[in-house]
Amino acid sequence: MKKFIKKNWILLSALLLVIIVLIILMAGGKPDLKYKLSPQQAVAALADTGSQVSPLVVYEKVLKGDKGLLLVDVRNTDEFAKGHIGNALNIPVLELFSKRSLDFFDELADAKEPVILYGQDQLQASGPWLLLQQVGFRNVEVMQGGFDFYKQLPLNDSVAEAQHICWKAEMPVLDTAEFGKKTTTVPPTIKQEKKPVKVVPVKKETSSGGGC
Amino acid sequence: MNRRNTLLAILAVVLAAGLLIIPNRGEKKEIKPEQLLTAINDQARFLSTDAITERIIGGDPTLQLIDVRPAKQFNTYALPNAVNIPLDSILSPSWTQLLHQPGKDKVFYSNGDIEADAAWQVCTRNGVSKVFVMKGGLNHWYNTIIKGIEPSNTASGNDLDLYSFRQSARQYFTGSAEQGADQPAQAESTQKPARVKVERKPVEKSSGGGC
Repeated sequence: MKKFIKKNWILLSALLLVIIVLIILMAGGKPDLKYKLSPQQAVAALADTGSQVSPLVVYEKVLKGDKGLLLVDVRNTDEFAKGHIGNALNIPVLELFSKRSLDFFDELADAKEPVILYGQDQLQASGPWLLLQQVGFRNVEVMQGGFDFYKQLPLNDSVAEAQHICWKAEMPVLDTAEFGKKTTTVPPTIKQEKKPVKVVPVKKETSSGGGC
Repeated sequence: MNRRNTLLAILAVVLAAGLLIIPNRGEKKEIKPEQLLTAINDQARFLSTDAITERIIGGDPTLQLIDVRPAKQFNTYALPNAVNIPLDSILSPSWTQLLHQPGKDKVFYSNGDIEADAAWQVCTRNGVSKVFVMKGGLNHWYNTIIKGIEPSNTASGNDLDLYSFRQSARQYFTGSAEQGADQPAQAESTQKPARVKVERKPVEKSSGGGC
């Protein structure tokens, strides 16, 4: 046996090396995050409006001191320090895939506890929300309106109405049917008994804006 | 010697097996979650409504607007030359060619920007490049350009420039330079005594929108 090893030690050590490298590649190293949802499933998840939480509901829960309310603020630490909602945890967007953050989400996923993301506006949190869904955290939700809207609460209904403050981002502001009609209108002509009078709307002069 | 050959053979087999076992970095086009996170954090994908308006008016051929709202809303009104790809059919093979068209900037828009951004993310995950989102969406476009926001007395030169740009854009889209149409339009007539006042319906009080 010893003679054999002596004679072929190069080959043997090469073999050993290869086996070790393979083991390292397969088992060791930082495990890559994987998508748990296919792109099609991700698109389907978008249609699920159950993951969107109204800021009014969050507001109520914060007032009541609801222990089941888990908030994650995805803004950077400075903005978080200036003001945040309730007992929110701060995990800036880029740190969402850090070990600490992933462990946090893992724990909640195991316990099947919902956690609500929010950002400065809804847009800041909705991207991360969709990505977290795709890597398998189906218990993550997103608050509509963002901190920009939340910090105005409680809102007087008439004030909100007057200023068109809306937290439903995808609600169309304009009545598109009306708008569509308007863009094709021609000034109406009004007929009088004797002579037709053409109605020409007077164009408002654009202000020169003042200046020196 | 036999043993040596056997050893060589074993080495070859182990190497081959290794190649098979090592996880297939197969999906070439799809980007990793970590890369997607970085892309999400990058604000460069957002194009302002003013920038898009300028390109629409200028007839920029590299602009491809994609409306991700449901077909019904698209058919009622959509931005000029926009294509309708409702969000739930973004991955449909019929759109692959359009989405992968080189030399064109594909700009997603919706009423707000949440849905447009979702479309952007799904496409970016699939490795589609040159995709953008119109920040603020149709709502913001309408509020700033069509409805208009009067600049304050203390507005800077830049603000005033922006305001007059938006006014001319309004003219382009609606054929009217009037803002808000709160004021009733006054009619001129060739006959002095006959003065007809035409009241225009105010356009802000939208019946379809709001919370």
